[in-house]
Amino acid sequence: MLTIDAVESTELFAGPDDAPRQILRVRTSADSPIDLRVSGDAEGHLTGVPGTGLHEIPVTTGAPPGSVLSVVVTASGPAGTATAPGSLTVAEPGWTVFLVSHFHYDPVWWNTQAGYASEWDALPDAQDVRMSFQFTAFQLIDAHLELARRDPDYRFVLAEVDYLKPYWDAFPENREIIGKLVGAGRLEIMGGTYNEPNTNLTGAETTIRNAVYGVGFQRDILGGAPATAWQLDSFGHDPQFPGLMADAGLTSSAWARGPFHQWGPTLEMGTYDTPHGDPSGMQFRSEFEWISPSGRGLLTHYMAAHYSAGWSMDSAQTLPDAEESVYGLFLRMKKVSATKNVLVPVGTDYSPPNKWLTEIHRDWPTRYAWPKFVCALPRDFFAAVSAELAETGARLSPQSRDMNPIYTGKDVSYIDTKQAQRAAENELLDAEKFAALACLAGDAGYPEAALDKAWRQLVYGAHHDAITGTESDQVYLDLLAGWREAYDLARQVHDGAIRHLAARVDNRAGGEGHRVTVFNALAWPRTDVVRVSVPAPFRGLTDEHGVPVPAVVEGEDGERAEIVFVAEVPSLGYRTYVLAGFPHPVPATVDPTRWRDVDRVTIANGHHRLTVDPARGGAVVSLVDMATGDELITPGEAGNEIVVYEEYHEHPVFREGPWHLLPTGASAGSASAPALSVRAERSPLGERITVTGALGTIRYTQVITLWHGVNRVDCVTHLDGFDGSDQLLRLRWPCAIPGAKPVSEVGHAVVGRPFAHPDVDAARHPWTLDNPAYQWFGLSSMARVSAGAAFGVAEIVVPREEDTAELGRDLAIRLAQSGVTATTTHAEGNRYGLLSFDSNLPDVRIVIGGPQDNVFAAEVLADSRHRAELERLLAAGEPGVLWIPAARGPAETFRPDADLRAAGDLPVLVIAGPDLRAAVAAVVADLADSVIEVACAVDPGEPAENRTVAVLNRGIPGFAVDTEGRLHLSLMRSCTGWPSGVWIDPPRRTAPDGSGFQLQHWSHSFEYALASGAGDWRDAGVVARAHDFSHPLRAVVEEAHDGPLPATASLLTVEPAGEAVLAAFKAAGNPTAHGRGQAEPGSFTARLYEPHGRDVSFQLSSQVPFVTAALADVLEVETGEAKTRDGALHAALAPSQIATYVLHTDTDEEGSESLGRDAEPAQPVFSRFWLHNRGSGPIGYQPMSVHARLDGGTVHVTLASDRTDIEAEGKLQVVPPPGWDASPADQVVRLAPGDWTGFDVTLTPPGEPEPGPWPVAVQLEHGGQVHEDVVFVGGQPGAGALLVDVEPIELAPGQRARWTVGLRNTARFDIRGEAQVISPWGTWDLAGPGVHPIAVAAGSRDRLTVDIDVPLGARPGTWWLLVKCMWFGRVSYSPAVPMVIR
Amino acid sequence: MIAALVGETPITVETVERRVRRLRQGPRGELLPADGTAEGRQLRRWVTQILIAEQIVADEAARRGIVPGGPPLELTPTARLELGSVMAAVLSGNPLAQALYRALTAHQLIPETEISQYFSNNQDRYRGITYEQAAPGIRADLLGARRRRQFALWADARCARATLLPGFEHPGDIRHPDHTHRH
Repeated sequence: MLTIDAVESTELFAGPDDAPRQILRVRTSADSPIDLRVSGDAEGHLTGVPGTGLHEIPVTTGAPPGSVLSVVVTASGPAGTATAPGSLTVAEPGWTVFLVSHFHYDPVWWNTQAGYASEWDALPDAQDVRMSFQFTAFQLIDAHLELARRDPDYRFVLAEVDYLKPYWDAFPENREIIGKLVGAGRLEIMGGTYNEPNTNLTGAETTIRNAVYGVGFQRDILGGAPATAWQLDSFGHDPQFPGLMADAGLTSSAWARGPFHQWGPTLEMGTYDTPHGDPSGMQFRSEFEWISPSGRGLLTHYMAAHYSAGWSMDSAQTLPDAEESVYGLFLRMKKVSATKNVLVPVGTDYSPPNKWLTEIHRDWPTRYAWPKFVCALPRDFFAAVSAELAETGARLSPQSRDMNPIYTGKDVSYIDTKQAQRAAENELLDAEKFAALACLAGDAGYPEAALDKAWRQLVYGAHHDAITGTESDQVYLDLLAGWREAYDLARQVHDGAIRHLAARVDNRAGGEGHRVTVFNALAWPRTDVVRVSVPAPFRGLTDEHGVPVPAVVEGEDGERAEIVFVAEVPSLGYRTYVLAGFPHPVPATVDPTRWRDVDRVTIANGHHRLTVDPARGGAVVSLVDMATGDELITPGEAGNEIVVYEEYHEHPVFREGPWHLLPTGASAGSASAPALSVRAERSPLGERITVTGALGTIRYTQVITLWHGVNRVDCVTHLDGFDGSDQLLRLRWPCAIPGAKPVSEVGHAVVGRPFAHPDVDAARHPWTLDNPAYQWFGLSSMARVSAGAAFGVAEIVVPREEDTAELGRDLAIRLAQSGVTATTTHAEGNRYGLLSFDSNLPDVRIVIGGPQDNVFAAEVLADSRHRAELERLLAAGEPGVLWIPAARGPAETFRPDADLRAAGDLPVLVIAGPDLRAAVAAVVADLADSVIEVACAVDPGEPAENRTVAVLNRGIPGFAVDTEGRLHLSLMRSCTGWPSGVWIDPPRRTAPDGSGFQLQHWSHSFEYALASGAGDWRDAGVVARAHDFSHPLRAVVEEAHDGPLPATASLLTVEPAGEAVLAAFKAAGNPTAHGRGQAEPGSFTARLYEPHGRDVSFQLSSQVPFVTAALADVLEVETGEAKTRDGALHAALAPSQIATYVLHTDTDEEGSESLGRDAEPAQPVFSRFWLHNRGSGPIGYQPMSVHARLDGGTVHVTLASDRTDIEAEGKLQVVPPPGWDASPADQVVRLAPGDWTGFDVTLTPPGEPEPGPWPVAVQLEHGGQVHEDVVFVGGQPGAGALLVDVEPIELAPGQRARWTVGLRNTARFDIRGEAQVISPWGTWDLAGPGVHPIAVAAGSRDRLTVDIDVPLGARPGTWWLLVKCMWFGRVSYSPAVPMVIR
Repeated sequence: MIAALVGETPITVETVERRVRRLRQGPRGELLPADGTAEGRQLRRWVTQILIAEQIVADEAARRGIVPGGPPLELTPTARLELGSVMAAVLSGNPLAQALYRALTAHQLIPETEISQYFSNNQDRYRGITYEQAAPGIRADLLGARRRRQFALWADARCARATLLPGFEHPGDIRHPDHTHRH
């Protein structure tokens, strides 16, 4: 009996390479051997194969790929003959699958930095959700390196500086093999970034510094050649990211999350983590050109099957099964590949080398000629993609698509860390500017060490499991300490720099007494509010000419008065104000010094008039823009309303908590009950209104202030008593503008965004479309058509796929420059706009080509009126630019279950003409003013109202604008979903009420403001106003003195004001990042960006002339000349461009005054800093490091240099336990750049040693600090050897106190280390300093004193304090105790 | 109630629960994930895999007439990582498994060319050491890796043939609801 059981076409080919034969798989059953023959449209045969089994018959055919051929299979043998018909789909040879071995690494998430880096096995509480294959970074690097040492076919990648730096320093004996593998093209150092940051939750400068520290370490210190931004897991991306990375010298990017929901195009409701789904619903290929608003972009590979796509073959039991798994993945992924190259990432979170990878690499070519399966590096893949494009002349599709939102919960979970990050980032940017200006002014040394560490801590915290709020409770506290450290370092530099400058001002005019020097960190003149503490009693204020300036005292005691006034300050400069002293009071105006109650519910200034309704919770029922007369509040609705949304504990299907917003659809708002109080006040400075109320257990206090001369509505909402679980709090401003669209600022740009669905039940509609905004979001227009409609997110539909670059690229770039992100598709492919699939939605389609060119245009133009109008235009020789309004309104189409793929769902702009390229070029040119002239055959409907309402925020990035025009600001949430509450190093700590920290059960203050104006956001000047709101004026108080600087001056001026934003100004170069010593003084880096999508020319000038200038990349490497004239930089920016310049002065004097810290407060510095969960490394970044390992009675010591420029020298000392001897005990070590050395120290115990454990310290004195590693002999002490005891504290505003922390050393050895005072954002100016050295003698008690100084104006509330002690690689946390301000 | 079948031999739910209880009473017992949680169920699945592997080891040892003996097998972290957590757990505390490991992998050899290639590719490890001095250590390292791989592949394939009942799937199987790769 002989049967043919199956005939199956494959895409496999037998060799030879240049004459490949496609393989037909045939399954037969017979007892004896058979011969097989294929005939018909393809031919081939096999002889003498077993009768039963699967046979692969190579066949030949002349038919082109894609043809479906009929074949007949004949099997014959002793058991008879059988025939079976079959079909063969002709496949294409020439494909290559690049199997890239990697492991994805999160330095912090539910486990700690120490746990993930090296200590996971030693942390019992970190085993819970560990998967059986997951290991620490050190174990993984070892395992990958060991395999690479054994197996010459093994290639792999390493990426994160978070593990590279510790490993590079702690195991310098592996430096050589790492360098060798890199050089041999077997190891690729990936990323060119420090980590995988969530760039959509930080400013663009933090993203730039991520590249500075990434490239600096990976390229210069480690010797890699990073070329690919390797952002595997980031939850979405900042739109400017690809352009910034291109400017950092990277040539490609690869990542898994952005255009579709969290698991990519294969995600379906009800499924979870499906690695092998079908991606063919994508609208574009997995390789594309990813374009920024700046117009720059990167060749990008989107990991459509996620970053762990190829990992699952590890569970195959046999090599053929593993190969079949890869083949299956190839068949799916090739559907969306742009070239005949498929990248398959082989690895997942903390995964060891895949067990089949190199076996496949060796075995597969013995079986098949095509496709090739190779163990390869990403660079091999990108080189192959580029080579094929060059060879075929094909071009990648241009995509400026917004790669957001992903994981909407990330914008609001642990909101205090986002507030802290923003504050620290702005403090640091301002500190950097004034420090550079202080150096320009003379006699100051640039505080590179302090700024370097602060930036590194921010870059560390920008990781996608840190700033996103998805971390465990313990990790939250560790991170919070890092943000505080960055903030404190920046604040110290900021204060030091402006004090340095103020001390050089000649402010004697006005006689003896005190001066207030007010500093403006922005490069345009400003009128804004400033708060400052001055000596009491306050007697009045004048400007430098003696003209009285109204000021209000907000608090006063015997010593100090806290005053507020509105100052007018020049561009990036200062102004001197004179404090009136006895006996020369300023002539009294009408009681100038206090707020006075007025019996009203309306307040006003020249810009706005605002009314609250006490019956509706004190919400804002009217807000009138006085310039336009527009009522901004939607009739009948109430603004500034707090809304509490109930949430699920975790998503019912996806099981995700902190990173997913989980509203159930139930909510309650503060406007539904009367306010408890409403109080309006007036002063010469302006008017304000304070409302209080209750919403459940929450007590709220909202203050709205209208300052005279300030064109903003300044608001703060204080929340107390929040004790909710699984609740989300939003703030709502209903400000409908007919036809306007949601817009939001992102890093150094503004983009359009889709309407959101804040009120859905996430079980049914998981995609609320909340998005992160940088400083502001609002309702406005990104671009408009002359027919009146506004749009912000586009799908560009070209006729055929091969046209995407040719016809779509220039338009995509110009739209992106105008802030309209676009997905470039083709008429015959998939449409963009299905919310269950796409991560966001378009609001317009731009169709290139008429009905003859473009099949989608034919569908759109089905209505003969449109077709006739287009024909008329073209016949008349007019531009074929036609607007076709949508068939339905946005409220109808932009629903939680939106499917906008049909022709009538969105308005369509048709661009047609005999020469399509010329027609597109005309529209591109027409976009210069963000308005496209169009014809329209039908009534285009009501034009969009051309005005803007924006909400500015201070670190509250999450927003949602619904189709009713309600602007929602996400305030905070209390998520109980895993890993909320997880704690790794026992005992577990909680907030004082016993809740997890993720629940945020303490007092919070949220600062935001409203801005409005006629026209779009550009006309309304929102970008500058948002910067103003983010960078409050800062003042210095001192006695009058002489000095070289004038009383009022601009230190740096950009003209025309506001048309180019000075984003950073600093000393040129980042020496620590690159392993170098101090930079040459006298050179400065200025980075500017164009904020409005316009071409602009500007000049940048300073009090000190810039002799020469150069254009530079974001790493501050000079790339070309820039023009200077009369000491000023003259340059031009393209729309939304970000440009870096290096400016040279002719001063090269190194100033002496220190503006910041250049050594850690706690010495010695523990070298294995990651064991302290301490972030990115100590001040100086351990340019020379010491590490010790104990082996019996011998300590192996290694010393390694990360200097790249000069020899490093250090003094080494071994400190053995008392009575023990160590040999050698001290020596001087010199290391060439990048070199290391090692030696053994022999320990000799005394005759009768006391029982251990005993610490052995190996200390290295280098660069003004002492670094030490400590190992223990005679056992290992627990963290509990040091007990940290704290007491609750309660204080009143104005009160000063000392908070005492009890330290008890229960060990037999002395403990030294450091302590960090950890408290939530909002309290950092109260208790300090943040970092303290500690030293507690064996068996004794000590105390640590923390100064508490409550400002007079502090608001009452309840927070918490705890102390984290770090010593010899151990971490001990005190309980968290209440800190109450009465 | 049966959790899994290894050939004809059942592994009962009671056996699984007893082993889980034993772990819970062990030194780190209090730190194990609680019953009734997804992680608790994953622990049960992992323990099932251990029991399956132990049964396979016992069956094969009986078939080959192997008895416990020989020096204890030391596993470095990298070795454990190469073996996978189940095989590492079975091998580390089980003299019978160690004896079987030795017997099963006894025939593995490392060709001289591989040793010399390793020596020349990894010169950073052999500064000032001659090939003759280094070769025995290299041979032992390469042999260890090869034997571990052979044993792990053999055992994995055998384990995969076991029949698993609902609730006792392989913990790494992405199809069951407790598989958590939660972002």
